[in-house]
Amino acid sequence: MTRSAKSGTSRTRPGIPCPGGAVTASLIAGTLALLVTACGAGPGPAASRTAVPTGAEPVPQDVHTLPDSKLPPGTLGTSCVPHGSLRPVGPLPPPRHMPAGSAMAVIAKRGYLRVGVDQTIDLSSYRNPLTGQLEGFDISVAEQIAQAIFGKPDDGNPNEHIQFKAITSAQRIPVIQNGQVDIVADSMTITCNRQKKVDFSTDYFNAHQELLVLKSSPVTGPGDLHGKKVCADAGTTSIQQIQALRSHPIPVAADNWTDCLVMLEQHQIAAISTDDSVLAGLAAQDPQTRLLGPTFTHEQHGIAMSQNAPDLVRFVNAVLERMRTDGTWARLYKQWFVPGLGPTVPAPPRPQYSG
Amino acid sequence: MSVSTPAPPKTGTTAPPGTTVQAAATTTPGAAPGLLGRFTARNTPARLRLLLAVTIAASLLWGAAAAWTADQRTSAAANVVAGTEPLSFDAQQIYQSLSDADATEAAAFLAGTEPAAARSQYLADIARAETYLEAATAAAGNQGPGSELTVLSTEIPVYTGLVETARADNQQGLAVGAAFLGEASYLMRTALLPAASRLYQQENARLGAADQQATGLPILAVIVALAAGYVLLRAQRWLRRRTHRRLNYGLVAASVVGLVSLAWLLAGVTVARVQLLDARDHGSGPVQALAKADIAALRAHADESLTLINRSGDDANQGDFARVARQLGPGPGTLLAEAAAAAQGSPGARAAAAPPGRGPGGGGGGGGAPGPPGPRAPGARRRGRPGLVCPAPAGTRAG
Repeated sequence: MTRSAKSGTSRTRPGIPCPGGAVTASLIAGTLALLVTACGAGPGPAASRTAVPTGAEPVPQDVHTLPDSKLPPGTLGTSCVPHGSLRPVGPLPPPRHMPAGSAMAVIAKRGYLRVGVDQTIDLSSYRNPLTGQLEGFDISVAEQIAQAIFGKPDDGNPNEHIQFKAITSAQRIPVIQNGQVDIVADSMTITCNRQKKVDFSTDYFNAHQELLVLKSSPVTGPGDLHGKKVCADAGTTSIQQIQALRSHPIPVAADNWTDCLVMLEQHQIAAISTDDSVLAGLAAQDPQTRLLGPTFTHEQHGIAMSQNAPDLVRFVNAVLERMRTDGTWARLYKQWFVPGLGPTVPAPPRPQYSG
Repeated sequence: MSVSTPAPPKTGTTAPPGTTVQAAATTTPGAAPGLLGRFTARNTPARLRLLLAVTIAASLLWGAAAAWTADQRTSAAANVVAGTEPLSFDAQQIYQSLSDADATEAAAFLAGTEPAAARSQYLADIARAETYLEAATAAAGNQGPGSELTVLSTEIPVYTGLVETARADNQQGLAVGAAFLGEASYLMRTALLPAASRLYQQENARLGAADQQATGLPILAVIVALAAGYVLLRAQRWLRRRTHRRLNYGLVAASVVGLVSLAWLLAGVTVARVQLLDARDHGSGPVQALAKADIAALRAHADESLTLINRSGDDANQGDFARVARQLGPGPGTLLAEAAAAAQGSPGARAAAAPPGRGPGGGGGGGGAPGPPGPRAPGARRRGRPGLVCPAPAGTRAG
């Protein structure tokens, strides 16, 4: 039996019996030949110096670097003022007694309200990993609307009559257009462009676009961002604002706000820029970050609904009106945002109607 | 050995036609004094010397051919058993362990607080992947940057680091934990699993080639054996005609030894071939088919969990789930049907025919799909692999 050392392998072969025992017989005929053939292969040349790869942080799924906006700086959103929402008609109908034939009656008959939400925005709407429940300001507002239709939940579970659908920022309009949800409560800014595709409630939260950076960052404001990567969700007004900034940062669009936070912690981007309410939620998850002013835009958040359900829009506006006047709005603001945005509870946003 | 057709004797290219031999032998006694002349002279002693040289050369050639064939077979078979087969097995185990880790961690996040069983399964998966990676690297050697092994050994720590960050955030109730897990899983799917998959394919191709080499027909050895036999036969016929001896014992013995060695070689090669083919068809073949199905099931499971955890709105994972589920089957042309066909007649067939799932225990770590029973690979014993649940690869019975 013969063993030859193959170049490059250091493993010794286990002794398996030689399938051709004929070697022994052929030794008689050709010992010399055997020696020649068996001793042919020697060890190969020593391996060359190993080239060492350089490590790098991985990138979250679906993250893209966007080009600068072609718009003149600072003009985004100023060319058009969104029109007001639909005025409520009369007082709210009592729970469980929705007007026949209305969109609310359809929802009541179904037994649950379908709500499109984000589940990654701490404080506004996110899934608490410890409880598995969705929580936040937007979620509380959705609960108020569900309560107005179904009444106080029997078993104390505020989500009893709600079916949440978790969506990304870019999906907020499509899910309404194809009827997958009744309302979207997802830190959605009311804009003229969006008003062409969906109807909005009145303004239920005033946010301001700001910056979130690491505490160690030299960045002091939007002016310092030239050539630096700034992250926001794809399909938001925030990413458009970044694209239109005078300092020409590099806009990076992600799927979820938390993907931006991951990249900020990994030093892949210099800043995150969006509504202060969202940034406060991100800052609450990482004490090494800080919110940076000055505010460069004001964002009015509205609840989006189908353009085919004006009665639902009026109904939601009536619910918001009640929340503003009976103290519910202030209570929810205090519950969710006072820790992150400062101790002052502002007055609820003033509704604007145009129909 | 008898010769029925008389033919003019030929002793070599330099020999004259048989009709002139008689005259030549008697007319040139003691001529040609040089070394070459001692073989080429036209007399009987020179002829005998030439005959001796040619038969020795033929025997040596046969010996060399037989030795080479046997050596090549031995090393090819050893290569299958100790080299390529374990490497292919290692690569498959790396892929399965990593994809199980991915699926396990995703499901654990879904549960809110991480169940202890999921944590230990994840740790076992990573330990198993690292162990097989180490074994594969030791066997294949350092192949430089960009190679699959380097990608695996540099990115697994990055993956585990991200998972631990995700866990730390998750345990504090922070939503960013799910995003870290998403990034880890994305790294797994775009860098680690493709590298493991390429490694597996490479090793499988190498296994197929080594199998081919070890089970092919020894054509060269048979041709050389026939040529040597022909030379021996002709030499004996010539001697019988020239001398009064009917049998030259030396040449007869050489012929018998040659025959026996040929028979031995052929028998050895045939037995090895049958064993290796059997091992392939009933060992590594079904294991590979089941492994493929297992990997597809794990991928679908991870897709499902990731869709529920973080990317809910993102259709990518949902689309991937549907695609993998279609590939998996059951139904004609699917992975499960393939696995069932490959495992025909073995206990593995039942597992392949069963609907996809991870069993009542929720385990399935690494080798979710049970294969046919068999002894462990020699390599497996040597390296003391943790948590080995897969059957032995092909070739363990070849010896």
